[in-house]
Amino acid sequence: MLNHWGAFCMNNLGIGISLRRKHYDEIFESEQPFDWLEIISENFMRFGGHPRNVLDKAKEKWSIVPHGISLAIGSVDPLNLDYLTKLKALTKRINSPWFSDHLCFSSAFGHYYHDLLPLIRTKESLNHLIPRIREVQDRIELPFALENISFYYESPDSKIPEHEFLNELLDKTGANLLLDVNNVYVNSLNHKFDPDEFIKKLNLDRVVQIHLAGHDDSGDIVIDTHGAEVCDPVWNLYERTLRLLGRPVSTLIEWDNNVPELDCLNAEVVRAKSIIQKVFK
Amino acid sequence: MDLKTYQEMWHKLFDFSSPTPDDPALKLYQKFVQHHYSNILRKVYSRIDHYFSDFDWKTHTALYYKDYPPGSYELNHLAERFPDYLKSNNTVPIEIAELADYEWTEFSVDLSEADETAAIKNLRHGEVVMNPTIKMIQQSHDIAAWVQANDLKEDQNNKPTQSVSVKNNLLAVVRDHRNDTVVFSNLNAIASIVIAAAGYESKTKDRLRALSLQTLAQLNLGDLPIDENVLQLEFDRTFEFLVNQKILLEPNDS
Repeated sequence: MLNHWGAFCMNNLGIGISLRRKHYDEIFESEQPFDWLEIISENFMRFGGHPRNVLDKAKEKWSIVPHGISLAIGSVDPLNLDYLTKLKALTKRINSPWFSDHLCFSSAFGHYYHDLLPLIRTKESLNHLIPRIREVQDRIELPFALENISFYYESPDSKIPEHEFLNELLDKTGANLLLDVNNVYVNSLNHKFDPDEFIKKLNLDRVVQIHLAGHDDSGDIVIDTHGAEVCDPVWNLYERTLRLLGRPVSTLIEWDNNVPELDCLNAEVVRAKSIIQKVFK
Repeated sequence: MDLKTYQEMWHKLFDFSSPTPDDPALKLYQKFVQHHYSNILRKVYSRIDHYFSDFDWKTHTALYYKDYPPGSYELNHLAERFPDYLKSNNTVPIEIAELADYEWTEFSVDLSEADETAAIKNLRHGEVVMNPTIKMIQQSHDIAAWVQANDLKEDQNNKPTQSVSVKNNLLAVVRDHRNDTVVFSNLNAIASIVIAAAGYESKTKDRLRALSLQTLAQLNLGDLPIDENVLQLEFDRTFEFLVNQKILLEPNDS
């Protein structure tokens, strides 16, 4: 069942980057190759001053999409209405085309963990999530995209495969999918599955945005660090995903830790654009 | 396992008194979350981290989150009550607690949601209004001068000092929105009276003078001048100081 927020957000914004403090002034200094910006919602919901001034200036030039980490859509706690009120105000201030957060729980029992914790994939979880996703969309009054997370722990009680779980949620709520290709790749290494097969099984009509990021493959567990360049296998998976999608999709280069110089991020943007051009020439 | 039991398992994992789990993945998550909790304190209170190398972060982080559980969806705000925790812990030197107060005030004023542009938008010529970002802190040590001196020493590659002089002082802290800097100002008794008289409604200088002098006249403040001409002069000096420090904003402050 689609709700009325599902169909509006399929515009392709092009290739974007995350707005980071390090680049606040530099992004305005010259023409940039990126087409849009993503912000961490919580970094702008309770703050004014320089970040707000930068945001107000940036919205005149680029589309800005808020990407949250603390909505805690899967938490057993009630939805935080103060959070939703502030998120709505933010989306209105920057005229967001959609907003996104992660399919996870990042708080419970009144504590915020500031990390993305995997849900147990059961029928009970689906029944818990579906009305919450609908409520969030109705309160924010914008299309909502849920992101597949990277996860290192898999509960033996998770009975529903991840792709089925995601598809069921998208189907029952009208939410969209923020497909993090790097997360699929990282999970495929940690949990030993074929990333292409996983992506093929997703409801790709609902993909509104793609995330690309770097990870750390130096230990026993591959860690989704968002602190390095996108690696070749992820670029290749991105290309194959675009071919499956059959259309260009708004894509974001995510880089949250050890944020590099803008030139480095822009080089990733240019590479993503060249892949789009190659696939859809 | 049901959803609630599953999330309870995770919840217990992040308590600083919880044992390290055997499962490597759970161990990783425990490390991540506890790192977020401790890292944000060290980031917001970077001068404590920098100047007091023997500060026991591990113990104080665990005790802090026991007293003030991580209830904010915004990561930086987890650090908000750390000065209160430090003040209530009598093993912590008061100057460290006051430095924490200074650092949180600096951080929160810098990023205050208050909108200076809106505050001065409808001001008429000759009117002033209180900077809406203002916060006041009372300290028993001269933290502001000490921070300034140490920051200067850092710039000159000199070793910072840990000794802070004892001095009661009242600080007004505001954001100067023209250049996004945070301004700390030591207030004397007259300045604090003028600030109290200013309130948050716009006023002309004459009206503010009248209100301030009225308050001064009603108070018996010992060493304050009582001659009316001297008081007028003191008011004018103080007014100019508060305007220069961006504590009082004028229409041309946009």
